[in-house]
Amino acid sequence: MKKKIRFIFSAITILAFLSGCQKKEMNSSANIYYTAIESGTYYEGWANQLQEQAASYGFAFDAGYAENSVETQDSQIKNAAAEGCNVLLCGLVSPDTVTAVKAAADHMPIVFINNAPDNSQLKKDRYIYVASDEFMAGQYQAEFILEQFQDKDVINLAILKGPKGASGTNGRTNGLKRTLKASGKKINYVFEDYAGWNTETAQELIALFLKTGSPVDCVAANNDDMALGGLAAFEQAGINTDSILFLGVDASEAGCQAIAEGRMDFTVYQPMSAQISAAIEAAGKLAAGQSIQEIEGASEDGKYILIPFEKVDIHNVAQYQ
Amino acid sequence: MTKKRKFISIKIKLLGTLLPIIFAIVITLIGLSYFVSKSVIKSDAHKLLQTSIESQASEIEAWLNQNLISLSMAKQTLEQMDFDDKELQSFLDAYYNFDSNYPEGLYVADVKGSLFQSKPEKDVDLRKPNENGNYINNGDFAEGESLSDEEGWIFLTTLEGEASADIQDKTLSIGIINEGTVDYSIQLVQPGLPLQKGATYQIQFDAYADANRAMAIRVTAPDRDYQTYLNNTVVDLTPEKQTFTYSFTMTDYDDANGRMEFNLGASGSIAGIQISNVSLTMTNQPESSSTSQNSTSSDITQTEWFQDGLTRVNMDFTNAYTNEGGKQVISACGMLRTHSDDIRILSADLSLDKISVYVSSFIKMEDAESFLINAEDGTILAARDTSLISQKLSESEDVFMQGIADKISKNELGLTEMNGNISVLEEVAGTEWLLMSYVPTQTIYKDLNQLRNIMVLFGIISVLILMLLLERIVHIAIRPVKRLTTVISLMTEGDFTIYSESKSNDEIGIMSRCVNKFIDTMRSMIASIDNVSHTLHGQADNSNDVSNQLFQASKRQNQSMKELNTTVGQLSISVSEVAQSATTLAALVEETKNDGDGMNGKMKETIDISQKGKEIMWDVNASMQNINRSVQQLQYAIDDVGNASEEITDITKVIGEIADETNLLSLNASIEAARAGEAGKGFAVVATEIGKLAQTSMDSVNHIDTLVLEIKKLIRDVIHLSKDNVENINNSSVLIGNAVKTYDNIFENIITVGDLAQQMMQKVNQVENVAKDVATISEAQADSSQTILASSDILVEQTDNLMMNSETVAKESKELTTSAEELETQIKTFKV
Repeated sequence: MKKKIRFIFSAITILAFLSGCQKKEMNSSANIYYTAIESGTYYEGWANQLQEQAASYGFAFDAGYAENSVETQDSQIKNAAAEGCNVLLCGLVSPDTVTAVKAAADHMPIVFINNAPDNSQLKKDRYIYVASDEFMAGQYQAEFILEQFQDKDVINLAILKGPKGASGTNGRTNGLKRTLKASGKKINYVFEDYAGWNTETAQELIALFLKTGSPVDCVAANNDDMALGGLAAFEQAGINTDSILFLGVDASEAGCQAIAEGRMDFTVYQPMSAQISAAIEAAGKLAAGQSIQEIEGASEDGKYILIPFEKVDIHNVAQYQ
Repeated sequence: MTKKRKFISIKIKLLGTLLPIIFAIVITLIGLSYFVSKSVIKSDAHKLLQTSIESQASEIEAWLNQNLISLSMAKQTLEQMDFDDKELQSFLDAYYNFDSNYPEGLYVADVKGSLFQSKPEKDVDLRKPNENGNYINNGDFAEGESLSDEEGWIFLTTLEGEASADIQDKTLSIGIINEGTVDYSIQLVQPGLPLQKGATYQIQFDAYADANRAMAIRVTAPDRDYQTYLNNTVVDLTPEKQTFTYSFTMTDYDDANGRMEFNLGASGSIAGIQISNVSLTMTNQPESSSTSQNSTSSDITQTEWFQDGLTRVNMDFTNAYTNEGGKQVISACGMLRTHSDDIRILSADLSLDKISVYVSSFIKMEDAESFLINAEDGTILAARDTSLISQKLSESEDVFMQGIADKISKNELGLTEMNGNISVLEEVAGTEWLLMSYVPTQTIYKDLNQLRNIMVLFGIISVLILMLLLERIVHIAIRPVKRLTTVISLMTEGDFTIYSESKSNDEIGIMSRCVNKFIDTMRSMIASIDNVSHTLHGQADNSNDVSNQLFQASKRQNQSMKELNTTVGQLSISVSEVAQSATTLAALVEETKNDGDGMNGKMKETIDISQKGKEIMWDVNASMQNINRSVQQLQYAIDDVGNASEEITDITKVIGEIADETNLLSLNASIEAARAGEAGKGFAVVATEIGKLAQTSMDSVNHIDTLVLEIKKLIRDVIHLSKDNVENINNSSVLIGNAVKTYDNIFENIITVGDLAQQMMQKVNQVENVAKDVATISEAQADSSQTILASSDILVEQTDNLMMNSETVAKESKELTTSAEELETQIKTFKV
């Protein structure tokens, strides 16, 4: 018995000692690798901003573009792990490959950005996701709609969604629908389809929808491009859109311009820089083996850092142009 | 120390300490492992439930997606091919019974209400009955048809069945030789009966048998794997003709090839059978089902699927609803992309049955149940208990259901424990559906309780075993100590006859061996002390006797000395008297001399005086005789004293030796007692006392010796002096005798002579001189007898001392005896 207890004690002591060593070892500076989904201005912009932010912290930074290939991403991550990176920033090519990505990352903690992994794949202070609060985007849209249609009991709503299953699609749509449902108003979803973030698709779909002649009070899209596509369909059909609300997300250049022109009514700004700084800060913490809890927007379960959106309408659109 | 201590054995102390500790440890261990197992089991159950529901949800999702994909492909084809109506119809017809998930195929409808619907490639040709409504050909056996061809009735035998049949007088008779092994070994059948879906049919026939027996009838579908429309029915036949009537309903589809069967084989009898008037009639028309094509436009555009299809282009699912056929379905629908302004909706109905299977059967956990719930309105879409389907959760009276409704409205989907159930909700992606799984906590705790019981049992058994083992171990370990304790206890009471037996090689072994050694030492020591004390006792007795003898002897000596003293005293008085007499004589002689001149006158006087002198002379002579005797007595007495003294010296020598030995013994005893330690302390005191006594005895003996020596010396002196005395006295006596003789002569001469006065005078002078000498001698004699007296006094004193000392010796030797006895008694308390 005594021996056993002594053994356990010594085991604990040794473990404590080892873990102590480990912590010390990890107390070095972060060496970050960013694997982006694909090349192109959007993600290159991300990479540049991430690099700037990393430099301001004094972290080493390198980036690679997976070009939508799961294999490329996998080999990039393996290389990074072999070359001594100690934290990974990962824009998942596919949310289905999280397990493979984690395996490829070996010892590295991962900060997921751009594309959400499944909640169950995340782990407190180890595998985290930094993103905008998608639900909030939908919620803001719903709040705007409810504000505009305060005196209406029935609202006819057309929804243009992103790709099926995408985290932005689900979060934004759920935020919109649940907030509307909670209002107690009768919401008629006169149209709801996936337009894959795409203006042309959105336009085609809405054009088809318009043939049904269903009444519509507003068109809420998961992003500005689709909202603009919907708007274009209305305009092409020669329908007066003054009384119809067009809502998007992203506060893209075109979207802001449309709002400024009074064609679109509402969008929400996704503060990319806030996401980027949060991602780099989180990467630093994870590389040092620390908790992300102190970072603003960190969720209680330690798996998420959610950056709030900002509302954009005709009154403040100028700030975002 | 004086306080009485309660005896608590080491065993009880050990067990009393160890058992509670072991008990506490076992309880702690079991408690700990129980709680750890509990949390593990619970979390496993949670995980399992979570996994189960996730897999169910993904099964459903996959199923939905798969259907959606195949339907989307159909839609894409339609959009690209731009069919005209006829082509469209044939395209849709291809989907009829194409996929088991949507066997009814596809619908295409436009806002104007026209509907295109998949239809079976060809309708089943159902022939008409005869004028009586009987679908059976030659049912009344009016024609004597062939029973072996494919037309009308057919008679068959197989599997060892042997029989014959023929038609006569509108009756079919069957004779049986061998009934065969199965009921269809002998068979009368009529295939090709047209049976319409939804219709109810009646079978009627007359039959009897040669003896009581049974046969079986049924209506089957040879084209549909011989499934039965009329289930196998046993008909009991009697020799009396009876009419039998049966009916059945076609539920699933039309069938132009129904088959009426009479089965006569393997029924336990070979009695012949007669059958007549067989008819199959339709008693209930099927509900008109072919209205779809002609349905009014308003109906179609108001359907769930059409309305829902208007809200999207890509195919997606409607909520569950009940379709026109009365079935619970979901429809996949969407607008077709057409070039015309026409809006067309493509749709297909998917039965919820398949989803129900996923919901009710794809649960991976024992006792767990699932519901599929429409999150929008809280309706149950699928459940194992079909009565729950279509119910609204919020309207349920079940508290648990209401709790779930509450959770859904709050969008709390995680795992919760509620109303004795662990429940979890999972969204089915791409739908508004929530899959809910729950398992009674009882199920999980059942295992846990079993585990707990096993653990408690194990704990009790292990505690019992440990108790037993410990008790035995302690008992065995303590046993030598107990034995040793008994040995030591007995030893304390002085019993050294026992040995402690211990062969163990531990401290207890060493202890008991040491005790044995100690016992051996003690035994030999006590034995030697015992011996010594015995010897001592004997010697003390001896010394007592001897000292008593000494005392007696000294007492006697004392007495003798006293007697001697008295004698010496008398002697001295006598000597003094002699001296006085001699002096008086001398004075008389003087007078005589003086008076010699006046002899005449004085002769008479002289004669008188001489007479007197003569008498005195005789007296002196007598006295001398006395003295002589006394001296002789004295000499005897002195001899006695000398002898006694010699004896005393001998005795004291013996006492001295004894005392020496005693002293030596006491020394040895002291040494042994010191070796014996605490036990020997009492004995040491006695030994010391004895030593002291021996020393005192020695001292006394030495003293006596000295005294005796002095006495001897004095006696020797006395003897010497008394010898001188005796000589003197003898001399005196001789002289006195001479004087007496002379005096007699004088006296004779006096009487006769006057002349001789001169002579006489001379003679008187001589007498005077002699008298003077006698006086002198007597005085000296008196002096020496005084000295003798003084010596004798001293002697008496000394003998008194001697007596006292020998008394002391006697007393001490008595004490010595007592001590020796005491010692003996004490030693006797030891048992060796």
